[in-house]
Amino acid sequence: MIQNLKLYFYCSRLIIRGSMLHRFSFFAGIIGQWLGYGATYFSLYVMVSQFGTLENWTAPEVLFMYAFNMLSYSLAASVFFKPCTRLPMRIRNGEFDISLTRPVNTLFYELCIGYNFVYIGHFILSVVIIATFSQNIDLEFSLKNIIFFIIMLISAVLLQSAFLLLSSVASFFFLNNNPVMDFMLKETKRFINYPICIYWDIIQIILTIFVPAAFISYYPVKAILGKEDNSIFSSSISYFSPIISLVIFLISIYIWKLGLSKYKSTGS
Amino acid sequence: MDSYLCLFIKSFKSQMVYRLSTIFKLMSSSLILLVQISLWSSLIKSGVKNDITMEDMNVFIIINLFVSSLTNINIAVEIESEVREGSVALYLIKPLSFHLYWLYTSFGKTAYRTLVGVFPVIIFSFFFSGISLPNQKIYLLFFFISLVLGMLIMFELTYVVGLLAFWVQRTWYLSWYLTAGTVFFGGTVVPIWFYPQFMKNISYVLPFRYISFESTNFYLEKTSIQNGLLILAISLIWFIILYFSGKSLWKIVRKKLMINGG
Repeated sequence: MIQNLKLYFYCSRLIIRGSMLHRFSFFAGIIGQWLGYGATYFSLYVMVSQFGTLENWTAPEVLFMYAFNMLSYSLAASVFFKPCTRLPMRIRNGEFDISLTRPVNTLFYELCIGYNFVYIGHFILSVVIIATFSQNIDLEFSLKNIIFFIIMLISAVLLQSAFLLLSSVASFFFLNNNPVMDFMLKETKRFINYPICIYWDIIQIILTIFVPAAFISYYPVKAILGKEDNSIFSSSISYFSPIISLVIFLISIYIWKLGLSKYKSTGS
Repeated sequence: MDSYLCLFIKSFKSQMVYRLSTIFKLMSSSLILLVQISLWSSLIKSGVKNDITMEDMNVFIIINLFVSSLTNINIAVEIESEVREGSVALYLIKPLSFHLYWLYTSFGKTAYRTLVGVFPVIIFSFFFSGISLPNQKIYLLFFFISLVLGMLIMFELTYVVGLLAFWVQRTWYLSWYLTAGTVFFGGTVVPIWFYPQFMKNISYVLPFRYISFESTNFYLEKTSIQNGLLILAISLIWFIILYFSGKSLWKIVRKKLMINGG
């Protein structure tokens, strides 16, 4: 286990160094991302504060949730984005078969070579937003709160990773991603930028039970803030986020391994 | 002129291959609409601001979807790869202008994408929500002129960014700055009516609000006719500025290509 971690950190260090080769465009890109997403945060803040609240969520709370979403995504995507989105292409052109010949677990190898450092911009921005707005929402900087936050964050990262994994699994069976799965997993993410209590009941049900994207940011943040609003589900299910995310993550790993065992190479 | 129209039609037709992705684009557009309408009806429930009613917002969301889709032109990436690989040189021997080639091709693409992927949703919303065309028909004219100018401005902006690839190699980070400008000052995420005054003032002198926001504003008849003419004039000026910037950049690229041999 320790050996694997050491290997992973070694690989990601190499990749980080590679990304920093073109210093200027790297930093210019990071600043561009900050401006681009900063603009979105700004617009969101203007929008909600003009009207006071969004279904009992104040502007700082809405931004906190948006930033939490971005934070969990940046952590999950830096590890899983490249391996998952490149999988169909790598299977098609035969590169994936190389991963099968390595003396480590195939998925682990894919993760090692797929680390993506570009998300550091998202990471820093979301941490800054969370730190800034925690003050506005009476979130005490106590040890208990910090630990709780970290638990919820890990839960969110696991669920984000599960979504990424599941969207790529179809390429083991067909040569491409299943467009329906892709669509479901991507489009539901669109809804969780805002507290789901603003949507119709049926959408809340879909986002909680069928494609549980709401457990990525809405329910964890609701638990962190101890928020009450008029969503159709009781607030207590927010506290189950870590269990639900862990279960879904383990299921996605299992399905990935299942797909791998059924995998027949394209033979090129 | 004929050959360029052919380019438009070809580019338009070439998108027909992506049948499945068009269906998904339709569903995607519907979901975007759903999110926006849920968001704004929850917001406006807390209180009406700046005389903007839910009817106004409904119209804004629907028309904005249409206009944003049509002005969603970004040729920076395509031009960047042509400039970096040197295939730009091929255009020097072809009997057509690089600039116009990309203009008609990108317009063809965006027209198809909007017509098939967004327009049906708009028509459906028209029936469902009972919104209608503007009362004074002059605003409809303003709407169309502003729409075309908006598309041209967006095209020229990304054209210039793409050409800059000749100097900066990779333009992906420039696109982020463009996005930032459009979100900050373009009024598509949040209508500019809700902005603080100093942001509103800055947005008037930048090209971003003239890309899609002003067209939607015209449709909602929120601008007086006098101001409307001023807005159209500023849009035209921005287009001219960007057009000549693009032209000069292209001249420089051509010269450099011919001197260095590609």
